[in-house]
Amino acid sequence: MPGSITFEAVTVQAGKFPLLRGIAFTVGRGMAAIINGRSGSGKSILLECAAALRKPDRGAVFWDGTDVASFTRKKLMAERQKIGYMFQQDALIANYSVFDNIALPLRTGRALPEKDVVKRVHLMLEEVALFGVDGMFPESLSAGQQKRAALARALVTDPQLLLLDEPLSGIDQQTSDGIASVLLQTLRVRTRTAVIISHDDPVLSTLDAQRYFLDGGRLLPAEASGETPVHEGVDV
Amino acid sequence: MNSIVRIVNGAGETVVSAVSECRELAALLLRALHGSLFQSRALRGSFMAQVSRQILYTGVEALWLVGIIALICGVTIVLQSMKTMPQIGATDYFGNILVMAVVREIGPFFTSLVVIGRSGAALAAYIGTMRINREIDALEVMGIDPVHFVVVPALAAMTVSMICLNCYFDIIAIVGGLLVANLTVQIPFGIFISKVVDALSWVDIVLSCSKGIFFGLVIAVVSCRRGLMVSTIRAVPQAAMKAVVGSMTFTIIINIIVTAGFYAR
Repeated sequence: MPGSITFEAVTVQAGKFPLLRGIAFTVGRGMAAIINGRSGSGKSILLECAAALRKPDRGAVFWDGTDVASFTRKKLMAERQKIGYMFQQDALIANYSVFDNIALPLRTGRALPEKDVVKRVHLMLEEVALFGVDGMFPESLSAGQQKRAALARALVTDPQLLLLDEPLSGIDQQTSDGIASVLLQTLRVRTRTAVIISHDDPVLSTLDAQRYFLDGGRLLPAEASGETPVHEGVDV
Repeated sequence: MNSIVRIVNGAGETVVSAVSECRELAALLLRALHGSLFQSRALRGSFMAQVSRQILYTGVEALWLVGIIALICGVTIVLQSMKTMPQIGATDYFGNILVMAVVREIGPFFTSLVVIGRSGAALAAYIGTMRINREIDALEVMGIDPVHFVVVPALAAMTVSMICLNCYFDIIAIVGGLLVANLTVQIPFGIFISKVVDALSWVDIVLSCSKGIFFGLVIAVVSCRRGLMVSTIRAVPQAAMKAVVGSMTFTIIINIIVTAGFYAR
């Protein structure tokens, strides 16, 4: 079960251009890491490596001490069911209703009776303050509602490892505060391991977490980076 | 000399890439078939919903277009046969000709063209868009195999739709063709339809259904693969176009192989 995650000298290249250079850090079980960085600095790629969506050119990613590259496809798919991943673009399944999107990870890999799935999804919708939209399709939702639905999908299985890509970007302050409070509650009360890609979000600054700054593909401790907080729009 | 080397190199690269493409398609087909046999219980609900939706789009919504094409083909073949066959003294073989032309060849092939144009291209674009919107990655990260979630339902729906549309085409082409011919040149409808029924054997039905199954599988697998290969938004229309070209090419090749196989037995 991926309770802790370790990056060991992870290097990713696009052709000869290095996107990540020798990334090395560990997030222990129940701990959180927040990674800041400018647009195009490789933050999302780092998270893709964390979820084994992208294979590093060099180095390795370990889930609870096991090299992800050593997993068979079947084992990898089973392990991924213990991860909650929130994409920057939300990545909700377009022809599934909000309810079905959130229920999807519960219905796959978990032998939950349908009435428990329904109960769990409604609880989650309530937790992220999404009311009256469960039958709607993602395209009918506002950006903030899509973000909440994506967060609900990432959290609904109560995963051991949370990988969140810009969970608070591109939405209004009120929605951002709502999502942040759900996140903080999850991380503090349920003590889940988390890697959060974020621009400088004041709400997340209250979280007790390791902080890093990704610059030119290199990961630096935030205090050592000497960078001023980054205030930007949506990362592309 | 250099130009000859270049031509040989070019031909070699084309052959290697064609073989590689066939291998990739075969691998995807095998994964999908394996996925359909060992479908996880949890995915069955979404599987049925997706298959129903795909059948509605590929099969039901294509009925009018297939119907019109079938009627035009049927009328043309019936009228041409009735005019030409007495001249060569082959009136007795009217049923055989109609069955051979419509049931064995034209029905499956024209149906596949409609399905490729309407659904193959759309399927590739749909999966390509899913890729761009990172829905495929979202499935992966939830531990759901995209082949099981996207390709298997498409494969099942496309195959079922192809078989049904094929039968529909044959019926409309033969019955509709004879009816229209009856209205225009006053043919004895009952006699002609009985000739067709007499000429129809189980071999024709098996051949027609086999083509429906093979064409459905190949259209689905080529379209899905093209969609899954998309990496940028600009590649989506190209994927749709390549799905159409690839599906047509494989359909023609399979048509020849299946037909040759049946005649060679």
